Amino acid sequence: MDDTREDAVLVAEALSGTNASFGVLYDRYFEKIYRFVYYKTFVKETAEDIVSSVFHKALERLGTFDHKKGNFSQWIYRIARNAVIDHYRTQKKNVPIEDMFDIGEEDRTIPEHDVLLTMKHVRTYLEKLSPKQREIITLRIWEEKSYREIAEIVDGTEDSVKMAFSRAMKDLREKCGPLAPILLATLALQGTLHSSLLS
Amino acid sequence: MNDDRISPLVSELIAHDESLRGHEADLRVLVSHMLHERPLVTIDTTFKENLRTRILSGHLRSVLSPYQKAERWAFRLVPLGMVALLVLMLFPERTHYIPLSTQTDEVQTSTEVMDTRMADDGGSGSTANEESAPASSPVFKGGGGMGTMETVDTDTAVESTMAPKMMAMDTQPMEPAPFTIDPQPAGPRIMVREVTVTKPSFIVVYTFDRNGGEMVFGVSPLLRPGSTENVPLYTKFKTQSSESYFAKLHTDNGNRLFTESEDAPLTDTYGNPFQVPVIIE
Repeated sequence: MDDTREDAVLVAEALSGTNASFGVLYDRYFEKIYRFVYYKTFVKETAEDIVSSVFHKALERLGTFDHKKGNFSQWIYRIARNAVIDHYRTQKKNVPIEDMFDIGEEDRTIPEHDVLLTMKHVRTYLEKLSPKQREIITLRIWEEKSYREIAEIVDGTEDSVKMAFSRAMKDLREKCGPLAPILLATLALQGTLHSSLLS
Repeated sequence: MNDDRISPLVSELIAHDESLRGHEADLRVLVSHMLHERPLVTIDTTFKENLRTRILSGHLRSVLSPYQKAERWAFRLVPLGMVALLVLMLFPERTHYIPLSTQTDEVQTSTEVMDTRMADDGGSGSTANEESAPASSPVFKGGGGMGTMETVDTDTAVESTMAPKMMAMDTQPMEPAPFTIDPQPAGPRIMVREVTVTKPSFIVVYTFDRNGGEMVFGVSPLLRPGSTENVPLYTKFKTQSSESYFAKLHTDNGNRLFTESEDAPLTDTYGNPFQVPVIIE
């Protein structure tokens, strides 16, 4: 049976020594955090390393969580985002790197490259955007998060997230130029044209 | 299933921004590509379960109640207290001090010292004489200042100001730093409210790296001698309220570029670098 206790209650119980309560939080957030990290790194082993460090840090710093300053979801996503930045900082100092797209082509590893090869068009799109825009687009389109959930993750409001999402897609469209004629033809040649695009 | 999401997403985008109306075809292409090229995320259940076990087995050791934490700290402080007691017993004369409340009028407060220095510099402090104060103490004259502990030589009854070296660390007086940073919002910039230096200097913000060591996080522009207000300092990454930061003042070695190994931090009369916490709200 699913545990429906609120995160803040589980945190308080975990701090008082109830082992199982942190386990509930782990089960509740593991997949979300894993996907969040994976969509920034695209390498399974890297994602696993970072996710491990996220939950270790969450446990170490559980006493610093203050439900008056924000909810647990915001808190743990912030740890995850910083963990990704820390990971890339060890690889490339003095360069602000928030996800794999900030790494230059010459510094990408083979597993990352393999995944990127399967993202023929998306790679060129996402490289044109800022890390924040990439994050919002992937949260909405790939992770199918609601605007409310995205607002919690990025520490914004629903309205600001909606505007940011539209703005990001608008920027993308402007940077890519007129897409429909050329890319529709490309997709048709590849045999991946879907009926919805013909309308 | 992906195709079912294209139209609603495009409609959403247009609802949020009317200027996108008329570009539905392009948006459909973009959204379609994003959906169809989404990388497959496969979670290794063995990894997930092993991590869960590791995390929770460490949980009982790492999570303590406040009482347990206080108890631990009390035990850690007991040896320190015993050492302090031993020192007091062995060196009674060296540790005889006059509490602040009974200090004579000759002891200046930091405000009085600042006023004196500013007056000597012509008021504004913008053209401070670099040689008017020792390099290690741009603000204080003659070693006086708030919180100075004085020792009394019982033979000569001469008051002198000297570092009470035998005192425990937590009673060593704190000299105010010559710069102020107010609590501020998270972001890529830290604003220094005011800073006063007698030599070209940098304010450097630090954070902690993975190993707990200090790491430079941002450096101010070169500060000219004198007082400056509202100095913006841009950091490598955006500051976060969940992280810890602190700032030090470093004296330029003359090349007008900050180099951590060559531009030494400014220290107080006890040799401690001036250090100010940077609080991110």
